[in-house]
Amino acid sequence: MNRSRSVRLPSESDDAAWAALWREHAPEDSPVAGDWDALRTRLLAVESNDRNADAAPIRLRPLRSRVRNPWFWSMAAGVLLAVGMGLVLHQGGMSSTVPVRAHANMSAMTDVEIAELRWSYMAAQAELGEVTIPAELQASVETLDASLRAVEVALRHQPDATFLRASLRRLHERRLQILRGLAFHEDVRLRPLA
Amino acid sequence: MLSLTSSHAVPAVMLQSVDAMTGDADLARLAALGNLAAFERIYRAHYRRVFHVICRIVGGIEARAEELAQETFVRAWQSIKDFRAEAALSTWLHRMAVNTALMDLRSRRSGEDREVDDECLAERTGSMCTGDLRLDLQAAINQLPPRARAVLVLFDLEGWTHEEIGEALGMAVGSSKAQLHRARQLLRQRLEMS
Repeated sequence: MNRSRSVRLPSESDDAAWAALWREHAPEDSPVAGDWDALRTRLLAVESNDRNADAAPIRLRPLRSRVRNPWFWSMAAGVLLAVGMGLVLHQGGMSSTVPVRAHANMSAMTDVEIAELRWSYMAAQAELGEVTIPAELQASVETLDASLRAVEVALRHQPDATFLRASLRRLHERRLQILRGLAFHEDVRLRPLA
Repeated sequence: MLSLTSSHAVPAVMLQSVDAMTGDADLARLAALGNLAAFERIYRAHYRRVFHVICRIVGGIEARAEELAQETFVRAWQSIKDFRAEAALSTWLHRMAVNTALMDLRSRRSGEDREVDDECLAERTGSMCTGDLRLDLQAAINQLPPRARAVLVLFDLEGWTHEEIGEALGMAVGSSKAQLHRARQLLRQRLEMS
Protein backbone atom coordinates (compact mmCIF):
# COMPACT_ATOMS: atom_id res chain seq x y z
CA MET A 1 0.00 0.00 0.00
CA ASN A 2 1.35 3.37 -0.98
CA ARG A 3 0.03 6.01 1.35
CA SER A 4 2.59 8.72 0.50
CA ARG A 5 0.66 10.34 -2.38
CA SER A 6 -2.03 12.90 -1.62
CA VAL A 7 -4.51 13.74 -4.39
CA ARG A 8 -6.52 16.90 -4.82
CA LEU A 9 -9.60 16.40 -6.89
CA PRO A 10 -11.54 19.28 -8.49
CA SER A 11 -14.32 21.14 -6.74
CA GLU A 12 -17.69 19.34 -6.84
CA SER A 13 -19.26 21.93 -9.12
CA ASP A 14 -16.43 22.19 -11.65
CA ASP A 15 -17.75 19.97 -14.43
CA ALA A 16 -14.97 20.90 -16.87
CA ALA A 17 -12.23 19.96 -14.42
CA TRP A 18 -13.93 16.65 -13.67
CA ALA A 19 -14.29 15.94 -17.38
CA ALA A 20 -10.56 16.55 -17.81
CA LEU A 21 -9.80 14.28 -14.87
CA TRP A 22 -11.90 11.45 -16.33
CA ARG A 23 -10.32 11.89 -19.76
CA GLU A 24 -6.97 11.19 -18.20
CA HIS A 25 -7.92 8.66 -15.56
CA ALA A 26 -11.12 6.99 -16.72
CA PRO A 27 -11.39 3.35 -15.67
CA GLU A 28 -10.18 0.98 -18.35
CA ASP A 29 -12.23 -1.79 -19.91
CA SER A 30 -10.10 -4.85 -19.28
CA PRO A 31 -10.67 -7.87 -21.55
CA VAL A 32 -13.43 -10.16 -20.33
CA ALA A 33 -14.65 -13.43 -21.74
CA GLY A 34 -18.37 -13.81 -21.67
CA ASP A 35 -20.02 -17.21 -21.36
CA TRP A 36 -21.60 -17.66 -24.78
CA ASP A 37 -22.57 -21.30 -24.14
CA ALA A 38 -24.60 -20.35 -21.07
CA LEU A 39 -26.26 -17.52 -22.97
CA ARG A 40 -27.02 -19.78 -25.92
CA THR A 41 -28.78 -22.22 -23.59
CA ARG A 42 -30.87 -19.39 -22.17
CA LEU A 43 -31.74 -18.08 -25.62
CA LEU A 44 -32.92 -21.51 -26.73
CA ALA A 45 -35.08 -21.73 -23.61
CA VAL A 46 -36.54 -18.29 -24.34
CA GLU A 47 -37.22 -19.38 -27.91
CA SER A 48 -38.98 -22.53 -26.70
CA ASN A 49 -41.19 -20.46 -24.38
CA ASP A 50 -42.04 -18.14 -27.26
CA ARG A 51 -43.13 -21.10 -29.33
CA ASN A 52 -45.25 -22.44 -26.49
CA ALA A 53 -47.02 -19.12 -26.40
CA ASP A 54 -47.55 -19.43 -30.18
CA ALA A 55 -48.98 -22.92 -29.88
CA ALA A 56 -51.15 -22.28 -26.87
CA PRO A 57 -53.97 -24.77 -26.37
CA ILE A 58 -57.28 -23.89 -27.98
CA ARG A 59 -59.61 -22.25 -25.50
CA LEU A 60 -63.19 -23.20 -26.04
CA ARG A 61 -65.88 -20.62 -25.76
CA PRO A 62 -68.02 -21.19 -22.68
CA LEU A 63 -71.39 -22.73 -23.45
CA ARG A 64 -74.19 -20.24 -23.62
CA SER A 65 -75.96 -21.96 -20.73
CA ARG A 66 -73.23 -20.67 -18.42
CA VAL A 67 -74.01 -17.09 -19.20
CA ARG A 68 -77.78 -17.41 -18.99
CA ASN A 69 -79.59 -16.79 -15.74
CA PRO A 70 -81.01 -19.86 -13.93
CA TRP A 71 -84.56 -18.49 -14.15
CA PHE A 72 -84.32 -18.50 -17.92
CA TRP A 73 -83.57 -22.23 -18.01
CA SER A 74 -86.31 -23.09 -15.50
CA MET A 75 -88.83 -21.29 -17.66
CA ALA A 76 -87.50 -22.81 -20.89
CA ALA A 77 -87.52 -26.32 -19.39
CA GLY A 78 -91.12 -25.82 -18.27
CA VAL A 79 -92.23 -24.64 -21.72
CA LEU A 80 -90.42 -27.50 -23.48
CA LEU A 81 -91.87 -30.06 -21.11
CA ALA A 82 -95.36 -28.77 -21.72
CA VAL A 83 -94.90 -28.73 -25.52
CA GLY A 84 -93.28 -32.18 -25.48
CA MET A 85 -96.05 -33.70 -23.41
CA GLY A 86 -98.62 -32.16 -25.72
CA LEU A 87 -96.87 -33.70 -28.75
CA VAL A 88 -96.59 -37.10 -27.09
CA LEU A 89 -100.24 -37.05 -26.19
CA HIS A 90 -101.16 -35.89 -29.69
CA GLN A 91 -98.96 -38.30 -31.73
CA GLY A 92 -98.87 -41.26 -29.38
CA GLY A 93 -95.18 -40.73 -28.54
CA MET A 94 -93.92 -42.02 -31.93
CA SER A 95 -91.67 -39.15 -32.98
CA SER A 96 -90.11 -38.21 -29.65
CA THR A 97 -87.03 -40.43 -30.14
CA VAL A 98 -85.98 -38.85 -33.46
CA PRO A 99 -83.72 -36.04 -32.10
CA VAL A 100 -82.01 -38.45 -29.70
CA ARG A 101 -81.30 -40.84 -32.56
CA ALA A 102 -79.89 -38.00 -34.69
CA HIS A 103 -77.52 -36.95 -31.91
CA ALA A 104 -76.38 -40.55 -31.44
CA ASN A 105 -75.68 -40.87 -35.17
CA MET A 106 -73.69 -37.63 -35.12
CA SER A 107 -71.65 -38.87 -32.15
CA ALA A 108 -70.88 -42.14 -33.86
CA MET A 109 -69.77 -40.23 -36.95
CA THR A 110 -67.45 -38.04 -34.86
CA ASP A 111 -65.86 -41.09 -33.27
CA VAL A 112 -65.27 -42.58 -36.70
CA GLU A 113 -63.71 -39.33 -37.94
CA ILE A 114 -61.42 -39.07 -34.93
CA ALA A 115 -60.36 -42.68 -35.35
CA GLU A 116 -59.70 -42.10 -39.06
CA LEU A 117 -57.48 -39.12 -38.34
CA ARG A 118 -55.58 -41.06 -35.70
CA TRP A 119 -55.10 -44.00 -38.04
CA SER A 120 -53.83 -41.80 -40.83
CA TYR A 121 -51.36 -40.20 -38.44
CA MET A 122 -50.18 -43.57 -37.15
CA ALA A 123 -49.85 -44.90 -40.69
CA ALA A 124 -47.69 -41.90 -41.65
CA GLN A 125 -45.63 -42.41 -38.50
CA ALA A 126 -45.06 -46.08 -39.38
CA GLU A 127 -44.12 -45.12 -42.93
CA LEU A 128 -41.60 -42.47 -41.84
CA GLY A 129 -39.96 -44.68 -39.22
CA GLU A 130 -38.69 -43.54 -35.87
CA VAL A 131 -38.36 -39.78 -35.65
CA THR A 132 -36.60 -38.13 -32.73
CA ILE A 133 -38.12 -34.85 -31.66
CA PRO A 134 -35.37 -32.35 -30.76
CA ALA A 135 -35.43 -30.92 -27.25
CA GLU A 136 -36.24 -27.42 -28.45
CA LEU A 137 -39.39 -28.66 -30.19
CA GLN A 138 -40.49 -31.04 -27.45
CA ALA A 139 -42.58 -28.53 -25.52
CA SER A 140 -44.34 -27.27 -28.64
CA VAL A 141 -45.19 -30.78 -29.81
CA GLU A 142 -46.55 -31.65 -26.36
CA THR A 143 -48.72 -28.54 -26.45
CA LEU A 144 -49.96 -29.52 -29.89
CA ASP A 145 -50.85 -33.00 -28.63
CA ALA A 146 -52.65 -31.52 -25.63
CA SER A 147 -54.62 -29.27 -27.98
CA LEU A 148 -55.57 -32.30 -30.09
CA ARG A 149 -56.88 -34.14 -27.04
CA ALA A 150 -58.82 -31.06 -25.88
CA VAL A 151 -60.48 -30.66 -29.27
CA GLU A 152 -61.39 -34.37 -29.38
CA VAL A 153 -63.08 -34.12 -25.98
CA ALA A 154 -64.89 -30.94 -27.00
CA LEU A 155 -66.03 -32.55 -30.25
CA ARG A 156 -67.60 -35.43 -28.34
CA HIS A 157 -69.63 -32.90 -26.38
CA GLN A 158 -70.56 -30.90 -29.47
CA PRO A 159 -70.43 -33.37 -32.38
CA ASP A 160 -72.06 -30.90 -34.77
CA ALA A 161 -69.55 -28.09 -34.17
CA THR A 162 -67.97 -27.58 -37.58
CA PHE A 163 -65.24 -25.25 -36.30
CA LEU A 164 -64.06 -28.01 -33.93
CA ARG A 165 -63.88 -30.51 -36.80
CA ALA A 166 -61.86 -28.05 -38.85
CA SER A 167 -59.55 -27.41 -35.87
CA LEU A 168 -59.00 -31.11 -35.39
CA ARG A 169 -58.07 -31.60 -39.01
CA ARG A 170 -55.74 -28.59 -38.97
CA LEU A 171 -53.98 -29.78 -35.82
CA HIS A 172 -53.49 -33.26 -37.26
CA GLU A 173 -52.12 -31.78 -40.47
CA ARG A 174 -49.68 -29.60 -38.52
CA ARG A 175 -48.57 -32.57 -36.44
CA LEU A 176 -47.92 -34.56 -39.60
CA GLN A 177 -46.11 -31.61 -41.15
CA ILE A 178 -43.71 -31.50 -38.20
CA LEU A 179 -43.20 -35.25 -38.35
CA ARG A 180 -42.40 -35.14 -42.06
CA GLY A 181 -40.13 -32.13 -41.60
CA LEU A 182 -38.12 -33.91 -38.93
CA ALA A 183 -38.00 -37.16 -40.90
CA PHE A 184 -36.66 -35.42 -44.01
CA HIS A 185 -34.38 -33.07 -42.04
CA GLU A 186 -36.17 -29.93 -43.07
CA ASP A 187 -35.78 -26.89 -40.85
CA VAL A 188 -39.18 -27.09 -39.20
CA ARG A 189 -38.19 -24.25 -36.84
CA LEU A 190 -38.59 -21.76 -39.65
CA ARG A 191 -42.25 -22.65 -40.06
CA PRO A 192 -44.86 -21.11 -37.89
CA LEU A 193 -46.31 -23.71 -35.56
CA ALA A 194 -49.62 -22.08 -34.91
CA MET B 1 -37.72 -16.89 -31.86
CA LEU B 2 -36.56 -19.06 -34.72
CA SER B 3 -40.13 -20.05 -35.36
CA LEU B 4 -41.40 -16.52 -35.57
CA THR B 5 -40.54 -16.03 -39.21
CA SER B 6 -43.86 -15.29 -40.77
CA SER B 7 -42.93 -16.16 -44.32
CA HIS B 8 -41.87 -19.52 -45.68
CA ALA B 9 -39.68 -17.87 -48.28
CA VAL B 10 -36.03 -17.60 -47.24
CA PRO B 11 -35.02 -13.93 -47.09
CA ALA B 12 -31.99 -12.97 -49.15
CA VAL B 13 -30.01 -11.98 -46.07
CA MET B 14 -30.33 -15.59 -44.81
CA LEU B 15 -28.52 -16.88 -47.85
CA GLN B 16 -25.39 -14.89 -47.08
CA SER B 17 -22.73 -16.39 -44.87
CA VAL B 18 -22.50 -14.92 -41.38
CA ASP B 19 -18.72 -14.86 -41.73
CA ALA B 20 -18.99 -12.67 -44.81
CA MET B 21 -20.85 -9.99 -42.88
CA THR B 22 -18.96 -7.31 -41.11
CA GLY B 23 -21.58 -4.67 -40.39
CA ASP B 24 -23.60 -4.61 -37.19
CA ALA B 25 -26.73 -3.71 -39.13
CA ASP B 26 -26.47 -6.85 -41.30
CA LEU B 27 -25.80 -9.02 -38.29
CA ALA B 28 -28.73 -7.47 -36.45
CA ARG B 29 -31.03 -8.14 -39.40
CA LEU B 30 -29.88 -11.73 -39.53
CA ALA B 31 -30.24 -12.15 -35.78
CA ALA B 32 -33.75 -10.75 -36.01
CA LEU B 33 -34.54 -13.65 -38.33
CA GLY B 34 -33.44 -16.07 -35.64
CA ASN B 35 -29.83 -16.67 -36.66
CA LEU B 36 -27.88 -17.53 -33.52
CA ALA B 37 -24.51 -17.43 -35.27
CA ALA B 38 -25.08 -13.77 -36.15
CA PHE B 39 -26.15 -13.02 -32.61
CA GLU B 40 -23.02 -14.74 -31.30
CA ARG B 41 -20.93 -12.36 -33.39
CA ILE B 42 -22.80 -9.41 -31.93
CA TYR B 43 -22.33 -10.83 -28.44
CA ARG B 44 -18.60 -11.33 -28.85
CA ALA B 45 -18.12 -7.87 -30.32
CA HIS B 46 -20.08 -5.99 -27.65
CA TYR B 47 -19.91 -8.08 -24.49
CA ARG B 48 -16.88 -6.30 -23.08
CA ARG B 49 -18.42 -2.83 -23.24
CA VAL B 50 -21.76 -4.03 -21.94
CA PHE B 51 -20.11 -5.83 -19.05
CA HIS B 52 -17.97 -2.88 -18.01
CA VAL B 53 -20.70 -0.27 -18.00
CA ILE B 54 -22.85 -2.56 -15.87
CA CYS B 55 -19.91 -3.40 -13.63
CA ARG B 56 -19.34 0.30 -12.89
CA ILE B 57 -22.98 0.90 -12.08
CA VAL B 58 -23.20 -2.10 -9.73
CA GLY B 59 -20.02 -1.12 -7.92
CA GLY B 60 -17.52 -3.55 -9.37
CA ILE B 61 -19.35 -6.70 -8.30
CA GLU B 62 -18.27 -8.86 -11.21
CA ALA B 63 -20.59 -11.81 -10.57
CA ARG B 64 -23.63 -9.52 -10.61
CA ALA B 65 -22.31 -7.66 -13.64
CA GLU B 66 -21.93 -10.95 -15.54
CA GLU B 67 -25.46 -11.95 -14.62
CA LEU B 68 -26.87 -8.60 -15.72
CA ALA B 69 -24.81 -8.61 -18.91
CA GLN B 70 -26.35 -11.99 -19.77
CA GLU B 71 -29.78 -10.56 -18.97
CA THR B 72 -29.06 -7.64 -21.30
CA PHE B 73 -28.26 -9.97 -24.19
CA VAL B 74 -31.36 -12.08 -23.53
CA ARG B 75 -33.44 -8.90 -23.73
CA ALA B 76 -31.56 -7.88 -26.85
CA TRP B 77 -32.30 -11.25 -28.49
CA GLN B 78 -35.97 -10.89 -27.66
CA SER B 79 -36.28 -7.38 -29.02
CA ILE B 80 -33.70 -7.27 -31.80
CA LYS B 81 -36.48 -7.53 -34.37
CA ASP B 82 -37.53 -4.07 -33.18
CA PHE B 83 -34.03 -2.65 -33.66
CA ARG B 84 -33.91 0.02 -36.33
CA ALA B 85 -30.60 0.93 -37.90
CA GLU B 86 -31.25 4.62 -37.18
CA ALA B 87 -28.92 4.30 -34.17
CA ALA B 88 -25.75 2.24 -33.91
CA LEU B 89 -26.21 -1.25 -32.53
CA SER B 90 -23.54 -0.49 -29.92
CA THR B 91 -25.55 2.52 -28.69
CA TRP B 92 -28.74 0.46 -28.57
CA LEU B 93 -27.05 -2.32 -26.60
CA HIS B 94 -25.31 0.15 -24.33
CA ARG B 95 -28.57 1.83 -23.44
CA MET B 96 -30.16 -1.54 -22.80
CA ALA B 97 -27.25 -2.51 -20.54
CA VAL B 98 -27.56 0.68 -18.51
CA ASN B 99 -31.32 0.22 -18.16
CA THR B 100 -30.85 -3.38 -17.02
CA ALA B 101 -28.33 -2.28 -14.40
CA LEU B 102 -30.59 0.55 -13.23
CA MET B 103 -33.57 -1.78 -12.95
CA ASP B 104 -31.45 -4.02 -10.76
CA LEU B 105 -30.38 -1.02 -8.72
CA ARG B 106 -33.99 0.02 -8.16
CA SER B 107 -35.07 -3.51 -7.22
CA ARG B 108 -32.31 -3.77 -4.62
CA ARG B 109 -32.75 -0.32 -3.21
CA SER B 110 -34.68 -1.38 -0.13
CA GLY B 111 -32.52 -4.45 0.46
CA GLU B 112 -28.84 -5.18 0.72
CA ASP B 113 -27.74 -2.07 -1.18
CA ARG B 114 -29.47 0.51 0.96
CA GLU B 115 -27.93 3.92 0.98
CA VAL B 116 -25.01 4.26 3.33
CA ASP B 117 -24.29 7.48 5.10
CA ASP B 118 -21.08 9.36 4.53
CA GLU B 119 -19.44 8.38 7.83
CA CYS B 120 -20.13 4.75 7.21
CA LEU B 121 -18.66 5.10 3.74
CA ALA B 122 -15.50 6.68 5.08
CA GLU B 123 -15.18 3.85 7.55
CA ARG B 124 -15.65 1.24 4.84
CA THR B 125 -13.12 2.69 2.44
CA GLY B 126 -10.64 4.35 4.78
CA SER B 127 -7.72 2.02 4.25
CA MET B 128 -7.72 1.59 0.47
CA CYS B 129 -4.99 3.17 -1.61
CA THR B 130 -2.91 1.56 -4.34
CA GLY B 131 -0.86 4.58 -5.41
CA ASP B 132 -2.31 4.42 -8.93
CA LEU B 133 -4.84 7.23 -9.28
CA ARG B 134 -6.84 5.38 -11.93
CA LEU B 135 -7.23 2.31 -9.73
CA ASP B 136 -7.90 4.39 -6.63
CA LEU B 137 -10.63 6.29 -8.45
CA GLN B 138 -12.18 3.05 -9.61
CA ALA B 139 -12.08 1.62 -6.09
CA ALA B 140 -13.57 4.80 -4.67
CA ILE B 141 -16.36 4.81 -7.26
CA ASN B 142 -17.19 1.21 -6.36
CA GLN B 143 -17.61 2.19 -2.73
CA LEU B 144 -20.03 5.05 -3.38
CA PRO B 145 -23.69 4.70 -2.37
CA PRO B 146 -25.54 3.00 -5.27
CA ARG B 147 -27.60 5.93 -6.56
CA ALA B 148 -24.81 8.46 -6.21
CA ARG B 149 -22.51 6.03 -8.01
CA ALA B 150 -25.03 5.52 -10.82
CA VAL B 151 -25.39 9.27 -11.33
CA LEU B 152 -21.63 9.81 -11.32
CA VAL B 153 -20.99 6.97 -13.77
CA LEU B 154 -23.74 8.12 -16.13
CA PHE B 155 -22.90 11.83 -16.02
CA ASP B 156 -19.10 11.82 -15.79
CA LEU B 157 -18.15 8.61 -17.58
CA GLU B 158 -21.04 7.96 -19.97
CA GLY B 159 -21.87 11.54 -20.86
CA TRP B 160 -25.58 11.48 -20.03
CA THR B 161 -27.42 14.68 -19.18
CA HIS B 162 -29.17 15.24 -15.84
CA GLU B 163 -32.51 15.11 -17.66
CA GLU B 164 -31.73 11.66 -19.06
CA ILE B 165 -30.48 10.45 -15.71
CA GLY B 166 -33.52 11.82 -13.91
CA GLU B 167 -35.81 10.01 -16.33
CA ALA B 168 -33.92 6.73 -16.12
CA LEU B 169 -33.64 6.73 -12.35
CA GLY B 170 -37.03 8.22 -11.64
CA MET B 171 -35.71 11.31 -9.90
CA ALA B 172 -35.90 15.04 -10.39
CA VAL B 173 -33.16 16.85 -12.29
CA GLY B 174 -32.26 18.67 -9.06
CA SER B 175 -31.86 15.35 -7.26
CA SER B 176 -29.57 14.09 -9.98
CA LYS B 177 -27.39 17.21 -9.59
CA ALA B 178 -27.37 16.81 -5.82
CA GLN B 179 -26.38 13.15 -6.09
CA LEU B 180 -23.55 14.05 -8.47
CA HIS B 181 -22.32 16.72 -6.09
CA ARG B 182 -22.43 14.28 -3.23
CA ALA B 183 -20.64 11.56 -5.21
CA ARG B 184 -17.81 13.90 -6.22
CA GLN B 185 -17.52 15.18 -2.67
CA LEU B 186 -17.23 11.64 -1.35
CA LEU B 187 -14.62 10.77 -3.98
CA ARG B 188 -12.61 13.82 -3.07
CA GLN B 189 -12.80 13.13 0.64
CA ARG B 190 -11.88 9.53 0.08
CA LEU B 191 -8.81 10.22 -2.07
CA GLU B 192 -7.57 13.22 -0.11
CA MET B 193 -7.85 11.26 3.09
CA SER B 194 -5.67 8.37 1.88
